[in-house]
Amino acid sequence: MAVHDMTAGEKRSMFSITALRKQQQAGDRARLAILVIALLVVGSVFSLLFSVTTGASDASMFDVLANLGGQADALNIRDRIIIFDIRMPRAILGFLVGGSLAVSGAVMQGLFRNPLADPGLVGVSSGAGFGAVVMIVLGGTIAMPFFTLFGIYALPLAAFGGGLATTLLLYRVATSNGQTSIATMLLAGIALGALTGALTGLLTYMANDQQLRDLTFWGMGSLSGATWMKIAAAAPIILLSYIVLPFMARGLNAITLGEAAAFHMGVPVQRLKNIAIVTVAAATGASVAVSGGIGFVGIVVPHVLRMVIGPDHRYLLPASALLGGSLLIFADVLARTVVAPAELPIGIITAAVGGPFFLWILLRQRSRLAL
Amino acid sequence: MIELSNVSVDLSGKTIVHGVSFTARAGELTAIAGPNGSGKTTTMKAVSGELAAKGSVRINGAEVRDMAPWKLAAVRGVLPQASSISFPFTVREIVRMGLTTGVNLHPEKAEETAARALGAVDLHGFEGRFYQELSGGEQQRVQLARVLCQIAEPVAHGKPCWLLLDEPVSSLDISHQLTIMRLARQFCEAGGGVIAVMHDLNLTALFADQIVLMKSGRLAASGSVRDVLTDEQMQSVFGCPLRINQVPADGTPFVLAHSAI
Repeated sequence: MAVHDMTAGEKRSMFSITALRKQQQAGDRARLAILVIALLVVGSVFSLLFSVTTGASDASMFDVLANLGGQADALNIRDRIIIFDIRMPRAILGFLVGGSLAVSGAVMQGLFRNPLADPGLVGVSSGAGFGAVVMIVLGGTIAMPFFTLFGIYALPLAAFGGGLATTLLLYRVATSNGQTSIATMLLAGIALGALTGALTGLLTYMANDQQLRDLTFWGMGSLSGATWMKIAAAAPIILLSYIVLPFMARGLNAITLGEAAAFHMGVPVQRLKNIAIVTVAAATGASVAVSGGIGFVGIVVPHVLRMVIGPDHRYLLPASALLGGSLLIFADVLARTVVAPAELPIGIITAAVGGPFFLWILLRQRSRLAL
Repeated sequence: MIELSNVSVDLSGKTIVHGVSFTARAGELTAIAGPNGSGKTTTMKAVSGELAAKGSVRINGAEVRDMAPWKLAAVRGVLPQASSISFPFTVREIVRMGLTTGVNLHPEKAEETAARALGAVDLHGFEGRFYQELSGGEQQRVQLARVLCQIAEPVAHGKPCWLLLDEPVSSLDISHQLTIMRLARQFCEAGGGVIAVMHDLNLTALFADQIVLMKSGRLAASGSVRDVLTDEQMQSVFGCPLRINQVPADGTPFVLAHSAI
């Protein structure tokens, strides 16, 4: 039944608990998914406000909202600087990075037809990291022309290139005749991770003291260096990768039945794969470039959402962007308040939560994985 | 009409299908039979467009290799051999994937089409079940329901639509085998066309209008059930002394394996 055919009463009851439960029993999770996405939008806004008002200087959410609404005297100058120049870019960057990590996990899992595929686990993040390290260490010398050509975009673009190369290689190795072997994928990921790790190590060895310091903090994963400039560098790439998501959703649904079945259903499979691989590399590359190695968001977020709203990518992808974004904001608030005035690298928090969660997925799905 | 003329398929350097030609007509059920490894499925993949083939495969007059995937999806649906899915889709979600692809002539009837397709494969009430938790035979029928949503009408825009079924009854019990074969027959009687890879020669004899018999990647025989299912053909294609017999009542041929033992 189309929404516009309904009376107001029907529209209201469409989202009632009993109506949702009945639809779920009939295998229809579309309305539940829409409801969850709406809640996630609210949650995302809340997480942004929560983040900019939490910390040593505590302005209230209402003051921030009043200030945004045009009431300039709601905040004093010091609070305005702290909120709009330090916390706000950090929260927005966290939202973008968390969202793009979750989305690239979801797209990759769809493409590989496998809930364990995650850019962090199978070497795509390491590849992107290698691209970024090349820029950090060699940016002043042989990679200089690249920097002058692309300016602030040089770092995210290099990370994108590294991510793209590893994703392509991984897909080539792990997939034959349209079937992806889980074991081959994970093992190839280990090999690629080791290779890019070695090359990264080589560059680290060559780095000077200042670069070494940059590399160490960047590699642990942190949002602490967030500036509007970094957002300007990463946001266009991340938002571009978001724009193609709606066009991929149906194709990714079809491809979970197998590449052949997707082709039978009218999906231009090769084109879809190319777009998906570039999207994963772009989203991962941009996030890795600005925030280093933040792990497990890409595997935890889509998995939790699939349990609630099901694997339909039309809802899973936007929901992943929202949940990934707001979760990372909360993780960041935790990272900068738990040992205040010092700060934990956020990668430590996501790994501490994500590691056990990943083990739990493995335990639950052991029988189905058939490695 | 689906016309194959001189079709050959190479897989990793080896020629699997050699110069096969036959014509499947709308309104008829064409069965492809033959021993394991005789190239039945590969021939089917050449028809569906999944594998590149030498020679010519035409659906309703158009060359398959020149057609975009979404154009092909509008005129033919394909039931693959067993497929597993690693995400927790419900039966309803899988079946409705068929509605979002192919040509959907009556979008306002989506709900009805999906319910009818599930009913046709005898899975009414299974909408909320998880695909991964179904038995092999039930999964096969869910897939068929999905295909029936994609190709919901036997005739669209005045041209016949096609079902390509690769061993549609391989994991079904005898009652559901009959259900599915009857379904295929009805699709033909309504003006559509069906090509099915079949292993069960008795079901083939009961339901097929035309049999395409293959051996070692070549066409061994093609024609009506009566012409193809003969003692000599069985001996030469399957290599064992099968006897073709007839029930006296209406004279339909059937296969008796007892004579081979």
